Amino acid sequence: MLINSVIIILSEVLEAAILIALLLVLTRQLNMHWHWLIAGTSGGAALSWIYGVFLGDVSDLFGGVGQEVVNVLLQMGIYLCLSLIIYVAASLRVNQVMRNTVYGAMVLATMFVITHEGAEIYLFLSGFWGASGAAVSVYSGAAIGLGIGCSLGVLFFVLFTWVPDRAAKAITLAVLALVAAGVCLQTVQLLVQANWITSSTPVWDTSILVGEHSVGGQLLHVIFGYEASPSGIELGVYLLSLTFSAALVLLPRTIEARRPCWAQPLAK
Amino acid sequence: MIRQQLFYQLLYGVLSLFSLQVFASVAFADMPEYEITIRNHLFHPSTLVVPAHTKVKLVIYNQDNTAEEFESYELNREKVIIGGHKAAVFIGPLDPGVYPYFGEFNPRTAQGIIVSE
Repeated sequence: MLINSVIIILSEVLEAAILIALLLVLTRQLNMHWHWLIAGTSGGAALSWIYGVFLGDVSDLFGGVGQEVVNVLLQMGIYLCLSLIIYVAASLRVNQVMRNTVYGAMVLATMFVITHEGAEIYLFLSGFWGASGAAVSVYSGAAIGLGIGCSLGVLFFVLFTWVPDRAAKAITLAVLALVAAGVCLQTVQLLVQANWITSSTPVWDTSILVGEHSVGGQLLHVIFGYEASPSGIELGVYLLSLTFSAALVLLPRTIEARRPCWAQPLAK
Repeated sequence: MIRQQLFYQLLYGVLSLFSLQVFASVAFADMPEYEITIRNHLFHPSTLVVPAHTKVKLVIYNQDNTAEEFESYELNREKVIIGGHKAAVFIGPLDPGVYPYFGEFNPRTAQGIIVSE
């Protein structure tokens, strides 16, 4: 029971921890305040508790798929926040308004991801409240899982500090774009699960190489949205998302480069 | 200024794409429906036979008083069902085969398979 509890809590916490670690890396690179983390985590914890309490009623909406709909809204919220962050972080000139927008987007993205994961954790843990025997092992397993998840997040953060400064921002934005694409992929999967989109047959099956059950598979899934057997529409949305992120980064620079020389901004 | 306009145009384009997908749904009539019950952290029936190449609606009725999460890697489905509630999970069209699933909150006991033939 303890091991189960560790694994369950760890996989939920890991998804949030990786995203938050990535946002902290970007905060460091952009010389921003990190205090958005406090607002994000406390808001997220409160929202996840509320979502957990009302999940039963929410689930019954939309013909039994209310849970999928709310999760889709959360994921799309995260995706929009990440796209905004990518756009501003890659901008050539950043003013204070844009900085404040990024700060707000980081708060919201953190809140949404913690709400999504936290609700499941709340439901799992509340089921064992008062069950005297199992409760101790379940709750200690949960604490261990939380600890491991946070440690992995810290490790992820530290890994990025080893990247040489010149490439640092580019690599961070690239990983952020991949995480955003993974979020889009999850959105599509939720819509397929709710029968709002038709599913199709898998394009390939790489479970021989890296199975989804395995530790490596889970890690790849959390960071890059790895799927062993993706369907055509999942693949299409993933690539579309990456293209969109690339456009957010490259288009402003292309437009800037094509301005006539007399309209170029004066060098500082 | 141009940058901002382009950004909003792109955003609008992506959002339209999303909304198109949402409303391109399939008709719900004549879909086979099967009920799976969760009692004492066990799935009843633990083996369910469904027709292959057909979209199927599973209604999972959690008769325990604690929540359970219906999860399957093979079926790519993951859903939390609160105690005392029912939830709908759509699967398929499936190729013929055996697709295991489990209850993530009680994985040792709550296990089942869906056989598609």
